[in-house]
Amino acid sequence: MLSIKDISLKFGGIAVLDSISLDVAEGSIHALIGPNGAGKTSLLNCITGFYKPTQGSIRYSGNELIGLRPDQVSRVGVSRMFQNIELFPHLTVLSNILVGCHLHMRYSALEAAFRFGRMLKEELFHLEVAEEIIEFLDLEAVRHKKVADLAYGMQKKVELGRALAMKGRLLLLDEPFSGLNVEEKQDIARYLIETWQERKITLFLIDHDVQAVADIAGRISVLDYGRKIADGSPEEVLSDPRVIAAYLGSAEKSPAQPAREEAKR
Amino acid sequence: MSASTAQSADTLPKLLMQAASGPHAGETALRQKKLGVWSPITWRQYGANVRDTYLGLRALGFNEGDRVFFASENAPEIFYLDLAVQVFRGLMAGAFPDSQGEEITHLMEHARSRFAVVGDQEQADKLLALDLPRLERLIVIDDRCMSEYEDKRIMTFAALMELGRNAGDHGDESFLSAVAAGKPSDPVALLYTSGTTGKPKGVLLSQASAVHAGRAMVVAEGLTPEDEMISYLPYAWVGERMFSLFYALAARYKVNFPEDFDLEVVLANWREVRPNIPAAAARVWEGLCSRVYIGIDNTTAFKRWIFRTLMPIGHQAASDRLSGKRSPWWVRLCLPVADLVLFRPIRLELGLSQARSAYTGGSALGPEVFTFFHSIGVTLRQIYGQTESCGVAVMHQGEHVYVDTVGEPFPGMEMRISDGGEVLLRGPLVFSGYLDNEEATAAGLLDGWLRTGDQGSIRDGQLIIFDRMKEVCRTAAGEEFSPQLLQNKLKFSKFIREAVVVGDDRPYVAALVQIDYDNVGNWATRRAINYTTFKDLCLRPEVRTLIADEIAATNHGIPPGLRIQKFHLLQKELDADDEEITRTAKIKRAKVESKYAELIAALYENVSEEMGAQ
Repeated sequence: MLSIKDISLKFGGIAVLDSISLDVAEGSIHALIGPNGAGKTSLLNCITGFYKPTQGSIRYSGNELIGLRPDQVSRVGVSRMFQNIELFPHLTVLSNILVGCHLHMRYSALEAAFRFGRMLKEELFHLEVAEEIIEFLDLEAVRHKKVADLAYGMQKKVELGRALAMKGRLLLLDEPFSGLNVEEKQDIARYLIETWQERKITLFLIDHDVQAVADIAGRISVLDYGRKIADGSPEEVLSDPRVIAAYLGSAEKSPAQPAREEAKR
Repeated sequence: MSASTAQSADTLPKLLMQAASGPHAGETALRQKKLGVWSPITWRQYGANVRDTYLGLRALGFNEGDRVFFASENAPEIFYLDLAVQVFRGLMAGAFPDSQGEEITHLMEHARSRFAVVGDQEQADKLLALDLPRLERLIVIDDRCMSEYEDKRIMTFAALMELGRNAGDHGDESFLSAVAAGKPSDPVALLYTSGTTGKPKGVLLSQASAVHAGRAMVVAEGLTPEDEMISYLPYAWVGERMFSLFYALAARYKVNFPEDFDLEVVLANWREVRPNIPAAAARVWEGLCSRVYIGIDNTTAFKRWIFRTLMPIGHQAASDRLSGKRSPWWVRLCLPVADLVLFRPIRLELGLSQARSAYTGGSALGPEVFTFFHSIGVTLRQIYGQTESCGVAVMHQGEHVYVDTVGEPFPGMEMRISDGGEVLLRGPLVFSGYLDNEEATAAGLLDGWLRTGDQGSIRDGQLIIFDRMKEVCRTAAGEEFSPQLLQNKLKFSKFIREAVVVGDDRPYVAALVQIDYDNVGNWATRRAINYTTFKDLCLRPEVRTLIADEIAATNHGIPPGLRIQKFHLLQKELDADDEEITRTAKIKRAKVESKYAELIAALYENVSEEMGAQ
């Protein structure tokens, strides 16, 4: 579904991503893990058009994504949930989710200003879409509350809700578990699995929480210093010595270290 | 109007089909909030859905007298199922949505159900995890996330109704003739007692009692088809059955289903529905009252001033009304103003603006909370009854509302006090017996009178309840006391949520106290007392002092020998999942006493540094 080939990204002299290739299969939950600064979020930013990679190609269902603006990327069917909550804090939950629908609204500013024509029909249609998401995520109790007044875990859910409202077939999740307590993590994990199962959306997620990721993902790729060091099922990846060293790792004798040295030569 | 025909219907399915085919068939019967919109279901659809459910069940091999088990939040489907099963003269045994493994196994086995209907995946998983050899069909109302389940017994409720719709040409006729064949002696419900002691018993109620209960309520409270009700109490409990089914069918009023059963959502939906005859357990009323006081604590100084100034006027008027006196002239003068400025907004906020009467039951409600609602212009009535009396059998009626009584018997019901002081009830509402338990049935009845197990007295035709019969205790010094009475007195404090009073055969009376997290939390926050969790809050010395003061105040009204000498704060809330309270929030005394035996023993240690509340 998403095929990343040979992507490199350089900021000045620093190679953030070093010829990364990976494939996200349709209908999978694919996770990308790696220590801080491994380049995970940068890779997401390349996919969604915030960064332009120095080389390589990213194809989604046959479309080349590189060169598209972020809004064009989401129009092709790639939605994103941000790591730091990027909601409008002073709008209600419902309004924030409706913002996600905005992408699909076709009426003109004039119609909106005077409330006629396509505007009425579309607003009603999208209200239903948003309400479906509210039901799906059990957000009824906070529907009309301002996002700023909600607990962090709840805001994450709203963030997920807005991403769902964009109706992409592929959902990119940037650290959905960060900053959450165990209960909230379980909660989000449940909704992610339901999203995948019920809405048939492919998930590509990034996180630090190896355990949470291993519990829900069918496939895991591991980044370290901008390079992909492993790719496979959770069991394979988590028992890979290089992963253990780089990620869970012993700082002293890291078997990944020589590998990296070798790669440099 | 159709009063004469309505009188002729002697079962609930007949009442339903009358409404579904009568001149008002196009009116709203049920409403469910879906995707933020209240979607109506008319009486005609209601009837058709019950028919489809009936025919669907029949196609699956459900026979007359069969049993079905359900575990679900309230939903129209549960009502269709219930009425369809009644047409089969079958039994529907239900669990509370949060019931766990063993409870479910007991209910399934006791009622010998081959069919089970569950609300969603969560409930389905609970059943699938159990060893239930009898289970043939598992019908799921909301099959979200269940597409991957391969168990052949699983089907959706929609598929069941579809099966009924395709039942063939004579489906409608056979359904109607089955409805017509219903008799008043048929079962209307199988409800399980909450089981404060031992396993729950299955109470059988007859169609006659449900129909009588409905008609009596219509007369007593003047219910009309315009009335609105919200269905949020557990359907496995008699309280919900009365208000959403028995009374609703008799009065043809509208029942609304909230979009979710989380208390916050229910209250928000409640505000939208504005029920005319809201009913809730005592603790919900306490919660609403606390909500107002917490809100007032945290509002602007001006609003607080308004509240403090005008509240006494409402209070005075309410006290006068409750004691049958005429209010002084200044109260009568100021009341309309206070109502406009303060009470009306509060009623709106609580969703009580359209409440003609409101009902509290389940356990005793503190006089302060009771008076509070009367002060803001809500006629709160005590209801009293039990599963064995088809729910409400005694109730405050008309102008006869008193703080300390639970009212007078429903039309057609008689009550008296036995020689031993026990409250006895007789009349059409009394149950038909316990399912497969003749011994208990015989013990529960005394020459046709239902033994309520409650100790009480009658004053001017009004019933006053003291305590459960068997729970009267005696201290080592020989003084008799009622733990529940003392517990209720303690619970009247807004800072005390639950209390377990001990002292049987002990030198003095003592208590385990569970604080009210919301109210104590708010109290602590306002005094800049930091806390993180419930336990942490309980461990604050200030909180201990607060509760000690509350207990000392309570002790004032108690004979010296029965005053609470020592107490301990529970560091965890009593929970039905830990079998400390029942699903209807009644204390399981034996379980609590054995679980907290060490804590109780510490209350009687001389060396204990625990300071009493004297």
